[in-house]
Amino acid sequence: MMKIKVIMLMVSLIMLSSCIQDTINKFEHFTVQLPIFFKTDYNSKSVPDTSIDFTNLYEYKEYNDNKGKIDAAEVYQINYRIDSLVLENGLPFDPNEDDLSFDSVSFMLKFARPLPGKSEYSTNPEDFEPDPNSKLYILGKYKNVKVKDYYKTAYNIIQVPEENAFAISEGLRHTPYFYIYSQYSFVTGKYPNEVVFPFVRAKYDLVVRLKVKL
Amino acid sequence: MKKITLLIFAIIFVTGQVFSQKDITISREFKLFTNKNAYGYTKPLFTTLGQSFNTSLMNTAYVVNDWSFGLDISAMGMFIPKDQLTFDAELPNLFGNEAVTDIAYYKDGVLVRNKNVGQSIIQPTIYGNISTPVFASPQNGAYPDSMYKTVTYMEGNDIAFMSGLPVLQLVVGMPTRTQVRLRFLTAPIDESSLYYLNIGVNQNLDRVFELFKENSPQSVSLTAAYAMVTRNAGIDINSLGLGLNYSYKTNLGITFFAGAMFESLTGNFKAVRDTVGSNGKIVDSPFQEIRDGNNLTFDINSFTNYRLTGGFSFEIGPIEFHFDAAYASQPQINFGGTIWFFKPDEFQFKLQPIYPPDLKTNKLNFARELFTPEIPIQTASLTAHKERVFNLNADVKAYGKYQEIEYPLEKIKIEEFASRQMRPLMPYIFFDDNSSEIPQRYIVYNTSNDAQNFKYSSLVGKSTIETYYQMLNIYGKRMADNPNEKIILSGYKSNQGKEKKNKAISKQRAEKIRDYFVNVWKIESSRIKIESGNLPKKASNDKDPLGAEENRRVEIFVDNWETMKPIQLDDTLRKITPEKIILKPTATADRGIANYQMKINNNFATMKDFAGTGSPSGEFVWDFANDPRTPKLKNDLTYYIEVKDKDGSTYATDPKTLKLELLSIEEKRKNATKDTIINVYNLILFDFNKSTLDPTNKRITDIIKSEIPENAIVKVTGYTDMIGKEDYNLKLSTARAKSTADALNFKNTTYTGKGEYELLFDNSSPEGRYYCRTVVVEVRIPVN
Repeated sequence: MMKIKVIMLMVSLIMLSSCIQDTINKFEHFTVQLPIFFKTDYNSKSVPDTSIDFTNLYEYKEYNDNKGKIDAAEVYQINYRIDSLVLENGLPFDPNEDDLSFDSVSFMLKFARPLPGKSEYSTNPEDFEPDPNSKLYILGKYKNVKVKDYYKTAYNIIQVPEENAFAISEGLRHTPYFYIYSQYSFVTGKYPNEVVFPFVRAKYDLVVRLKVKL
Repeated sequence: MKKITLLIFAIIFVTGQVFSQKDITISREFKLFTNKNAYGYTKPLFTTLGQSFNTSLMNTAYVVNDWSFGLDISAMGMFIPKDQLTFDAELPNLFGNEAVTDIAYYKDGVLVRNKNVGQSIIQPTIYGNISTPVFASPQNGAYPDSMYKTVTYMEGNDIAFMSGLPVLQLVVGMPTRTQVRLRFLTAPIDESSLYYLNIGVNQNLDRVFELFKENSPQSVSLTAAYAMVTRNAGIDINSLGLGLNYSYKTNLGITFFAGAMFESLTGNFKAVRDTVGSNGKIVDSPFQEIRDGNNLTFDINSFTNYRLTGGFSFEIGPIEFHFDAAYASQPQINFGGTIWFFKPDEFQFKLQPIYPPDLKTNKLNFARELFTPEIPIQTASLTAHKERVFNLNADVKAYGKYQEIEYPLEKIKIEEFASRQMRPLMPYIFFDDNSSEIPQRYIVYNTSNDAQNFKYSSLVGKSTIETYYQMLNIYGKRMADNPNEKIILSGYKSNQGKEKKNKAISKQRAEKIRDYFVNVWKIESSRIKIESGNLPKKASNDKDPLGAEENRRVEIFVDNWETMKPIQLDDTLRKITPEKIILKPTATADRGIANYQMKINNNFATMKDFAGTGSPSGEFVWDFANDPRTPKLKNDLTYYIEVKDKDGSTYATDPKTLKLELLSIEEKRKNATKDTIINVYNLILFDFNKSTLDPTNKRITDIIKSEIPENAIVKVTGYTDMIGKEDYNLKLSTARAKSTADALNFKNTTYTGKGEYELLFDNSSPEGRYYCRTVVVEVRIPVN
């Protein structure tokens, strides 16, 4: 009789303690999503062309609040849109009338490193340079970009490929400063000629997931 | 001993209640944590908490008829049902409104955009998984980009099994076969104490009411429980439970038990939002309640109000172990042991010290969001010293603004379009306070001869409201052209101020209009019937000064459509690009700038100049499209800046050219270039706060419908006046546009609402407000 009671007691203890341990493990972390907004204005933008924008996550409160406790950082989704475009003829792009497209627009990420003697907390892009040891990670590529479909719309969303997201994650934990490369291809039908737009305003929103240890 | 213990508990509790007044504070940088979202996100957690209260309240329905005293320690865990892993999160109410922001989200390989998104989105609760970012693209400058932009919600912790609140409770048995269980805990949250008190009473029934035979292994008991968790400012949770239990003790000494319980969890959570974001920036949440800094407050309750429990217990030495499982809001398992210090006729034992598990209530998830983070201190760097050179320099750049888009400007364009315009005639004449004189803004003639010169063509190029000010003459001419036409003039007044007692003024107003028709337009007085009353039938809110203004009026009633129909004119529309020209100057002078002057010239004549003292800074905006001289432009524009320093030296830039591209209708037709006819039907006036089409409006939409060719593109835009809330007016204007678009029932139709963000007319006058309650239908007809 005593054996039965002891066995029941042991089984109950093991079951419950493993479940509770699992809960505790889960609550050791929480994940916040951080939207990062890029607004790029180009005067006399020639296409094809690649432009580079610098970001230092130390500028963001969510990152600063949790730095030192971040176990993982993952670039999750990206959204690209064109907010303003002045055509070659000097007139604003009219989505109802103008027909224009790029063969593709791509976004890549490369980690930065502070120049000797400069602080990694600096928000001045002049204080950084591309890290030669960093790969160029592809975040997303938009093909056949019809400008009217990208004009002030929010639906051009790409989920960053998992293999790249994880690779970037490891880097972002320790190197929260990076460059985003935006690569514009030829204007469709204009190959091999370069086209110059007097003004382009493009925006892209990047969502980064930060896994923080409590 | 017992009395002393209770007294200590009471003193701690009462003093804590009095002195713990500090509010829980939440940073407004939690931009999406509205009351509704916080409620949905945390509800499963509070359900877990509530379920903990009513767990381990009994191990058997049998209670011995003597004093007993023990200490129970239990741990439990809840299995989280799938439907508690997500909740319907609230989206900002202007998300999805195409006039404000275009939105979309991507989840599980599926893209959902704009109208299909609705006003809510499935997001994880605290136990859920990855949240879904909602991407947003602001549509115009009326809303700061910083507000209606991409948002991300809280992620869940991916928890399928959650531990409940650990139990450490005193168990006291009484001779009445009553067992009382008492739990008490206090823990600090944000510098104030949180108190947890739980009392359960388990009353044996079968022995008291002799339900079974003596020495029967069966027992029945009734359980009642009350629990509270409180923090004087912020958290107030109450739980009540009532249940019936049955137990059966086997010959092996194992007792099986089962019970059903009704449990009610109620309460409230409250936190105050800090005044600004902790980084010092203005709060830019897309939610009004967060921008306003309203308290974060939500009710606390659980998903269901019942539980069914089954389990068993047995004794090993002085310890009674128990294990049970329950089906409730969150199915749960529970395990624990009761150490009996004193239990008569059963056993005696040596007292062993027991250390309770470490209680970590500060791990409640909401608590982690309430801490105030450190603000990183940013240091400024010193700029290098520059040698002083006496110089004077300046430059100015021109930018265009078109549909809120700003761009470097090199060219201006004026394109003409043939256009048919329809303007509605509101049959009201508004009067000044306590006056029966026709206000001067209405155009009236002094003599009959003057009136004969009135022509509809004089309305070409006029705005809708300028056309309205000619209404007495339009009606006069139409009545003169239709000699059998009769009209009714109804005079009304406000019930406020001087007019309140001036009963005659309504009639005097109507007579004044009649006299004008009779004396100037030579309409026979027998064709005009006068009526008068106090407030109009469709009166505005008379207690509001703006409403009272609208009630001081004469209404014109006519049966004949020919007299009341809108004005239709063939006109020329000009599309002017850009709408605004912005000059951005820069100037430097070592001796300081005394004054500056910027000029935009056309053929050496100045069209616009900006001048001032000191150094020019910022932007200088010229409302180019609305300048009456703009449509007449024939040549390029030039612009320059001239600055003078405090020593009297001057510097002027060379004139820069803004090339003019002029495309007239004649030129387009001569060159056989593609053209568009733009017909503008600025026509439908809606009653205050109404979006439905009345019979007159339906008739007007029928006319428009008959004038829309197959290849046309139709754009319907709704507007409102400035009375009421911005968000509501935006919805109202969209509803008005939709009603009209539905009535047109044409394939290539888009509609949008502008609300009060784009007021068509000056809202300081009653007619300005009335004409803002409108819909404009633009029909673009491509012409080869």
